[in-house]
Amino acid sequence: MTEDERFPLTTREGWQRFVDADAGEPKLLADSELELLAENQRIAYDQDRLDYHSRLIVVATPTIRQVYTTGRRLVLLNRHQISARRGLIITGAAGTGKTTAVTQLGRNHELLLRHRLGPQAASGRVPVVYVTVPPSATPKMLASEFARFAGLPVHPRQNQADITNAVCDVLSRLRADLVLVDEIHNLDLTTRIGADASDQLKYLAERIPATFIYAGVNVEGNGLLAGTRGRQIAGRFGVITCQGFAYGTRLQRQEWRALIATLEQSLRLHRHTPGQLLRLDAYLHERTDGMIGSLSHLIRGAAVEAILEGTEKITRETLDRISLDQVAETTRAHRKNTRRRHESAG
Amino acid sequence: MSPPAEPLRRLPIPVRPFHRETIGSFLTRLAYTNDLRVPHLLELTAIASREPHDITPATDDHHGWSPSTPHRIAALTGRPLSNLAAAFPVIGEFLAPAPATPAPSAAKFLRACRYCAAARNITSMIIVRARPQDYLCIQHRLWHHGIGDVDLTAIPQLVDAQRRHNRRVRTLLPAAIAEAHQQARDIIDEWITEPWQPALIEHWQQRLPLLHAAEARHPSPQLNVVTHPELLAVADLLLTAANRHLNLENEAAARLGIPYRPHPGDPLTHRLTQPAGHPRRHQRSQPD
Repeated sequence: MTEDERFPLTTREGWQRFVDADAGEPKLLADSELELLAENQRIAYDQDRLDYHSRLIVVATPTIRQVYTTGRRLVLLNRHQISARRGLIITGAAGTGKTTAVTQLGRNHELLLRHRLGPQAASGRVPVVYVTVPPSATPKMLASEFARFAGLPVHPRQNQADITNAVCDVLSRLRADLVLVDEIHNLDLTTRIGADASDQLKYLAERIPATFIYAGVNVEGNGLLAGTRGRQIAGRFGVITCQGFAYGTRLQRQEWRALIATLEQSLRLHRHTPGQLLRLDAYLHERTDGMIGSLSHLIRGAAVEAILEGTEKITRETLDRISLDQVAETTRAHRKNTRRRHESAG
Repeated sequence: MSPPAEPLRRLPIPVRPFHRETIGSFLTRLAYTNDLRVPHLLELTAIASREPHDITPATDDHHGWSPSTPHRIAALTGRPLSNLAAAFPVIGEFLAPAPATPAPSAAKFLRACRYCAAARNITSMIIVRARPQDYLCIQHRLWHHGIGDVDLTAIPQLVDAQRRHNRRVRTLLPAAIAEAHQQARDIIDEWITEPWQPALIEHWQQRLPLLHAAEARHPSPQLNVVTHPELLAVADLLLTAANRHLNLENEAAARLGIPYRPHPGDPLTHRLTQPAGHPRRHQRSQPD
């Protein structure tokens, strides 16, 4: 692991690495060129493709486009607001692409800024802050997460007010104008600590002149928008719900197939037949329940398997061998049982 | 002192060293800019501090440093160690201690010109390692040698004199310049309090109102300002006398801009005619 790779996304260095990452596609060599490669060259070539497929592209799904458009509009509208800035909440079940949506919003925002200001002017700024709410978060823990992102060392004897003041001062000077708060469902407003942490977040949102975007699992159902505090949040934050891709109507199937087609086009396998994945669209939906997180894992896993095995193609058998998350597998098993019951009853 | 457990990261707001800035001034600015308390920054850099205010902006030594201190400073600032060693001689000395040499004369510290600092987007105070001949900012015509800045626009000859003096002493050793300036200061002080050079006193009294300090009494920063051209002239004479024989009457008159008659009681004559180390008895009699 290199020096930079130590830092997670919730640090300034990790976030910069994410923004700067170049999603370059490896060039697929012709069979004749492959044969000319020495063993170590072939290993390096395969390693590049393994690396590429482990990441794969981020598809601009309708949700990601909606989050980007809404977020960008909010940043512009909030630019001259001195208080009561509007925010956005991205909610949905696990695996529906919430974190991908907010991080892509942040990345695009930062890249646009660099393009607008030029690299030198942009280098003195930290336009995007990305933090996650820790479990049982206290106000001090929340402030510390912000400090951790910025790279501000926190002394054990510093109290909440010290950390908060330092964070607000530094982030304001660094011209942060987009703050992404993930795992917001870890804030439980029904508890005293959760309520205090929510107040802390609101205070930070007032002090730091930025647009705040929250992302979390089923936010409406876990109390964040309940009670007096919740109503205040609900009064200032719009909500975008991330859902799995449905497979009922013709339009829904078209969207699902478009997603699969985009992922399939990005594959770099020597013997994969274009359209093979598209023909398995129903199967893929059944396996993943339409969750983009599960779909991405399934296809990436199958691509990696295909390279490691040497088959260089994704088939139904390859996909069958990839295990998914518990939710996807349980849902699939439940569907199978339901179908069997209907078939035996019919 | 045990170093912090987590690996050090570059602080969020970078700080650039200022020309000839002291290490204490730089670390203080680094702390304030990043909303850190100075003791916290000292812990991060593994600098042991025995007293609460051991490290001040005027600190320019490596007292209390641990072997990892320069590397920690490099990590916190995000600057290469070689870059820092070039900007701060104390870091270079710490990394490669020189063989034992006679202790140099005490360093002179001065506030950097605030306009020069502002030109580099620095609004906080900076303390620099001043050369013996540094008293003012020639570019911005500001006197810094003292508590407050004094605007020298009304006394342009002062800035011109400093510019000329800087050119003359360019190739001389700092120790020699420092000694000459100290001796010149003593001579000027005596000229202020004793009526050896009434023409000079008249010049100084004419300059004081230009600084809105007509009532200034010795000692005062304003008197240091108005007597500065003559201080530089005397320092030049002393430095010249160290290298060749001086026609005191003519050269002193030329540099001071007044008729000058050598007199054993006059402090300048005494300094230049007595052997080194010979104590001077204060003369009460008036000059002829």
